[in-house]
Amino acid sequence: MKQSPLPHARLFTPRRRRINRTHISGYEVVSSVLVLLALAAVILWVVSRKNHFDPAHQDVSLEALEQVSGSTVLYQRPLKPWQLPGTTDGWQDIDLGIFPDSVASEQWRPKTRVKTFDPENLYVKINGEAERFLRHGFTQLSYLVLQSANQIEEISIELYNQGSIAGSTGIFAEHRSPESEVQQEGPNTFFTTSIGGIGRKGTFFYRISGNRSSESIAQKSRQLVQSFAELPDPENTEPFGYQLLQELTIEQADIRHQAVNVFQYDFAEDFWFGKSDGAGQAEMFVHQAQSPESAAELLAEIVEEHRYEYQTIRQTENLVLFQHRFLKSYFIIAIQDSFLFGADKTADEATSFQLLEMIGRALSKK
Amino acid sequence: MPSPFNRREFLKRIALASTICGGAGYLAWAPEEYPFSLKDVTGLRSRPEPRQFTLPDYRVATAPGMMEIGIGRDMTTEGRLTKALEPIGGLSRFVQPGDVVLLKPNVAFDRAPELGATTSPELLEVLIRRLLIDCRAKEVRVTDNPIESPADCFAKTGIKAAVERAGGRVLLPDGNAFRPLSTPDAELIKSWPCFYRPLIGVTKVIGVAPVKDHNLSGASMGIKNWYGLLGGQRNQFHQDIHTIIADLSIMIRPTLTILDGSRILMRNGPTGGDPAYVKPWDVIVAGTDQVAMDGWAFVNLLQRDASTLPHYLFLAEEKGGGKIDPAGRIQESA
Repeated sequence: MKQSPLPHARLFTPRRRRINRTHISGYEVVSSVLVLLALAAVILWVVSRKNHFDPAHQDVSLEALEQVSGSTVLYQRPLKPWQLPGTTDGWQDIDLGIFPDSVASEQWRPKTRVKTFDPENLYVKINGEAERFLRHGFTQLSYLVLQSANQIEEISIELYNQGSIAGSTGIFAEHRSPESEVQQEGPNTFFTTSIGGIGRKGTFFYRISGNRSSESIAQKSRQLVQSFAELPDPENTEPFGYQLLQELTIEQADIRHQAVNVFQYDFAEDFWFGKSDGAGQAEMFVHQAQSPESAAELLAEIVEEHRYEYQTIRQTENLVLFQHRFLKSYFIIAIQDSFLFGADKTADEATSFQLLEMIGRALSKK
Repeated sequence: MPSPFNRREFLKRIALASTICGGAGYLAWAPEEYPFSLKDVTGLRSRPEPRQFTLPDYRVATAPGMMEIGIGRDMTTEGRLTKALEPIGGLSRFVQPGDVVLLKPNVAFDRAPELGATTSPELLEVLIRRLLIDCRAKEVRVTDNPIESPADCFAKTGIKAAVERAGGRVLLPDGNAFRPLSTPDAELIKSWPCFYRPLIGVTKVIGVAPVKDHNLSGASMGIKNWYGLLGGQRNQFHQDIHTIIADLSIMIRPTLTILDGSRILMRNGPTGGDPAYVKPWDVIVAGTDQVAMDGWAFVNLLQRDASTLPHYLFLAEEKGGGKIDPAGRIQESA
C-alpha cells in the first residue's frame, strides 16, 4: 500500500525549544534593557500626547510654498446669495432671470426662484402639451410663482420664448377662442381671463394664472402684462408675412402664423393669416415659397385638394376662386413670383377680389 | 529519513496551486464582456434586480340586473355622485368594510382646480367621506405621479387639503417607490416601472378622472388617467399615444372608474390656462367599463362627433380593455 509522502507533516513542532547558547554577554543584556526603556519612553510619550497632534509640526512654511506655487481660484463667490426655494425672506435677492424686475413687489413677492425649461425637458412642466409648443419653435420656458403679501393668493407665470414672432403668434392663435376679447397695448397682444391673462410680445408668449378669481389677481395680472412690455425685442427683423399684413393695417392681435397643416393639408406649411376689419370672418393669407416653381407646385396641390369640397368659380393661370359646396363661403388664391396669397371664408366674390387686390398691391411695392 | 516530497507530488501540487491562482486571477481581472468574468467596474453587475410584480384584477363580480355605467346629474357634487352610483349598485357594492382603497385622481399639473386640468377636489372629498363612513373602508389612499413637483401639484390643485379634510392619506412618489410591472399583453409596457408602493396591501382601486381635451390623444379621461401610475421615461410614449393608452386599459382592471364632468376642459388640453375653456357642468359618470365610459364622455361631455372617436378606444377594445358601445349597459338616474 502506497503511503502518503507527508503522513504526519506538522507546521509547528511540539518539542521544547532548546537554547544552543550557554552564555549571554553583559553588553547584550544592557543594550536590550536600553532598547526596552526607549520603547517604553515612546509609548509613554504617545499616551501623553493623546490626540493632540500638532499639524504645524512638520508644515512647510507658507513662504516656501508660495515660492513654488501658482495661483488657482478654488471658489467663485456667487453674485447673489443662494435662496432656499420656497422661502420668501430676502425676496429682493431672488434672480428673476428673463422677467422684468417690475413683476415683483412688496405686495407680490416671488414664492420660489425662477425655474427654466428647455426643449429637452419641457414635458416636465407641461407633460402632454409640450409638443404643441415645440411645433411652434419653442426655445425656453421661464416659470415664476408670485405670492401675495397675505400669503393667500398666488399667481403662476409661464413665459415661453418661442424663438420667433411666427412661433409666438402661432401659439397665441391656438390659445385664443372666438370669444376672447384680444387687446393691443403697445407691443403686447393679450386677452384677460377670470384668473389672469394670456398674451404675447415679440417672440414671447405668456400665460398668467392665479389660484382663484379676485380683484387683486386681476389687477396684478394687468400690471404683469404691462411689465412684459419690457421684455427684450426680437433680434431678428420681423418676418415678411407679419410685416406685410401689418402694412395692410391689420392689428397685431389679428395676425397669426400657422406653421404646419395649413388648410388641414400636411404639405402646406408656414402661412401668415390676418383678419381685416369689416370683412367678417374672412382672413387674408400669404406664404413665401422658396422659388416661383415651388410656389406653383404648392398652388397646384392646394387647388387639387380643394376641389373635393369646393366648386371652382373662376380659374386663370395665376388665380383660382372657389366656393364651398355646403358653407357657400368663398376661397380665393393667387400666385405672384414666389408668393402665394389670397383670402379664405369670404362672404362674396367682390370681397374676395377686394382682399386679394389689397395683398397684391402691397406685394407689388415690395 | 525519506523525503516528504517526491517530484511527481511536487509537480501536482504546483499545477493545482497555479490553476487555482490563475482561475481566481481570470475571474477578478478578465474584462467584463469575457465569459465568467466577475469584474464590475461600473457596479451595474452587482446592482440588485428589482422583482417584477403583476397587478391583481380589482374588479368585483358583476351583479345580475345591475348596469355597468351610471350617469348622475345634479346641482351638487354629492347628488351627482349618488345618482351616478345608483344604477350600478351603489358604492357599497364595490367597497366592503375593512377594504384598503386606493383613489387615483389626475393631479398631473400644478394648476388651480378652476382650470379643469385636474380632478375636482370637491368630488374627492365627498368620495373619501363616503368610503370611510358609509362603506367603512379601513383606509383610503390617494396618489398620483405627476412629472412636475408632486408636492406642488397636490397643494395647488387643492387635492391635498381636500383629502386630509376628509380623512384620506396622500402618498407622494419618490425614487424608491417604483417596481417593474409586468403586463404581458401590452405592447409598450410589457415590463415598465410602476408606482408600486401605494398599491401594497390595497384591495380596491378607484380611478377618479377629469374629462378634458388632450393635445395628442384628442381626449384625456378614465383610461388615460392611469398614465399617472407609470414611472421611468414615460414621456417617450407620447410618440405613440394611442397605443400606450390602449395598453393602460389592460394594465389595470380597477374596481370602479369615476369620470368627473363638473368642470370639462373643452379645448387647449391637457393643461388649459383660461377658465373660459372650461365648461361647468353637472354630470358624473361611474362605471366598470372604462372604454365605454370614455366613448360616451367623448361624445356627450366633450361634445365631439361620434365619428371622430379617439383611435385608442378601438385599440383598447381590440386588446380586451372593454367595449366601446355602451348600449344596454348604461343608465341615467332619474
